[in-house]
Amino acid sequence: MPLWRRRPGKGVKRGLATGIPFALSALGAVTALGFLAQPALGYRSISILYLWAIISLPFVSSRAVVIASALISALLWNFLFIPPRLTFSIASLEDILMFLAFFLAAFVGGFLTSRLKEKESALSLRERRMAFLYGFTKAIARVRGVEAVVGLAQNYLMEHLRLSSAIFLCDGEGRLDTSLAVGEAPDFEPRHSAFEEGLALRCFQAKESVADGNDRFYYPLGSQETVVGLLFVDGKGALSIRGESRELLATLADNIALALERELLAAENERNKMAGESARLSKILLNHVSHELRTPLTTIKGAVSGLLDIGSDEDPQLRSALLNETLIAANRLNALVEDLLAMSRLEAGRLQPRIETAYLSELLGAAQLALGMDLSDRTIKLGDMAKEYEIEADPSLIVQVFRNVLRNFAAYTPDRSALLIDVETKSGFSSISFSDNGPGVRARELPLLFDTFFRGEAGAAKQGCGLGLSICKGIVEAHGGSIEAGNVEGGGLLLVLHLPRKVEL
Amino acid sequence: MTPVLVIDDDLQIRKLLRLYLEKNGFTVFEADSCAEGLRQFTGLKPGLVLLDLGLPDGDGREMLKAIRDRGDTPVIVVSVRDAEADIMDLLDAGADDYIIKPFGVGELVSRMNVALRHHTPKAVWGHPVQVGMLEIHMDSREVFRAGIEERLTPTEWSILEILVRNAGKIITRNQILREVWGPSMAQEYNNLRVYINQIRKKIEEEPSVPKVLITEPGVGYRLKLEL
Repeated sequence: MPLWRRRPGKGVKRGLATGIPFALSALGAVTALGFLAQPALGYRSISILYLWAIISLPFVSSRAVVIASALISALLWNFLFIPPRLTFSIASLEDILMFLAFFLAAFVGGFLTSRLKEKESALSLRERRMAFLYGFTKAIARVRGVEAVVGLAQNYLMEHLRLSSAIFLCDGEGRLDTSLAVGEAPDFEPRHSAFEEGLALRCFQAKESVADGNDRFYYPLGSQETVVGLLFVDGKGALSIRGESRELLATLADNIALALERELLAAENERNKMAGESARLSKILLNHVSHELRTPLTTIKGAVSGLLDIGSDEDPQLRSALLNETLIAANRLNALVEDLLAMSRLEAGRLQPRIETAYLSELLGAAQLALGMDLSDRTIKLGDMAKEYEIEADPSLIVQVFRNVLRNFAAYTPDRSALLIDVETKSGFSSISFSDNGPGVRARELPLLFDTFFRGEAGAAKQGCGLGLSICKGIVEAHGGSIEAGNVEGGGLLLVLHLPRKVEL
Repeated sequence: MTPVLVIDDDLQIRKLLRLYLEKNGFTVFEADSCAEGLRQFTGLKPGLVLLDLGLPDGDGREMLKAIRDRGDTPVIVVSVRDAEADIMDLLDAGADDYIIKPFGVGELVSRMNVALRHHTPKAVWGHPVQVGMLEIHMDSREVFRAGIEERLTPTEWSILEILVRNAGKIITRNQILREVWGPSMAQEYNNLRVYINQIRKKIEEEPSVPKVLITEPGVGYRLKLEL
């Protein structure tokens, strides 16, 4: 069932003249019946037959036809049945009164029933519209995302109302962007050639719906205070959109506006949350970094000023000790700066691993060399598999990962600890495991191990700012792999790197 | 007194280098930009150039090309980390070595000495090259590890020869590939990788943690021999 009344076609006649054949045949049939029944019932009862016909007419015919039929039936009755017959004159006073009463009854009866019928059909139209609106409101409450809301609204307008539409949103400065409808490709030929920017802007500025008089409508989307966009509806001249139909469109526009506002707000909230999170991180970063910078700088400043104070010949042992501390502090600063650089490259998503095949042992060796750190009495052992194993990875990035893992091993395990490095191939991945026999990590701290700036309770007292493993995670993930942590049975930390193997073609 | 041209825009680094290099027997000239560097280079004819890549007025590659156009003066590129691709390009384009900032001055001077020595070829021939338990006789093509002879295949020997000739200096993978297999084999890193692994098994004490044949990840190899 359509939600609109069809627009009356050529002029007004078609709408007003519906049901003429039915009216004519009904009158004909009653007249024929009258001739047959007259001898038995008498001419007065025939008026009742005419009345029945008139009252039943509005179910098919328009009001004008009903009233015309009432008039014609009165005349027919008078002409054909009331004596003197075949004249329009009426002989007895009683018949005159009867004729007037009939005329009134037919007229009023026809009029009333046809009004009733119209009311009923208006009611059912309204009911259908209510159901439609309800369905639309429910559907639009469920979709998420600005584009989805717009898509759904356009679908509904097209499917149910045969109306094409476009929705325009405001740009960043709160001006209406009429150059591009939401969900439309930038190079798309504008479908709405009837769209008039002037009317759209007028609608937007006045915050009121505007019609161009040709069944094209512009609705502001939003509340009185803030208009977030504009709905353009093109009736293409085929439909009659007035009165209640316009109200329907206005209600639809309100619903679309609510959904859009909701989605825009959600998007803004998400942005704010991200901004808040990154503000939090940069605050932690600043705190951590300034602390981490200050400690080695204190060492350097202290040692070097001490060196300046003591004469060049005094206490060579103290001199070399101070210099050694200075060098260690400088290395620490360098490591921190490299971590920060790696982190910022990861965060910017600029990391593009250049994958090569390489021996795992070769990269581990390079990492050990680059670490340049005293492992004291700690030992590193390679499993048998690892000695000749080849991995697919960006060599310099993976060396950085290994270096960080080894650095952690050296920093967080007691002297004479041992690290076993082994590897196995599992479902398309090379799983490289690092297991030590140190104190391990508390179970509840394991999931946090790769978080940026996380430092375990054991690490709080040590140097470092919680970047190492989160860099490892970032690099491994940039390779399409993953990293996990666990505890070895009997204590000790287990780190496993899963790197994808090259697909053999 | 070898004249050295230091092209770096940081005053403090130039100052530090001047102090240390002059103490080590170099004459130091300073330039803070490409233009100034090139002007001094043409006038002074230095024995070695330290070229910083982060110069305000130009790109290191062009500077290197300009120097190479004027002769084969050794050039050591000074750069920050994370630029392996650039470093490899520069080495392939004729730079002699590179060093990562921040560096130790001791390491820098030994790299400079290596670069200078290769510039004035000193025979590795005639006497064995020795490092730790390893002994390499270039003339007779023999390698001894802890007194026991290791047999190298001809290809392994060609690679080792390149590395020994350039001992202490970085050699990019492309340089080795080009010299051993010809220009068409450049970029075929896989073969080279396997050969290097084989050589390591014959010359390293602990092949999984090489101390002599060092990998510079993503760039090339360096033989750590003090000749």
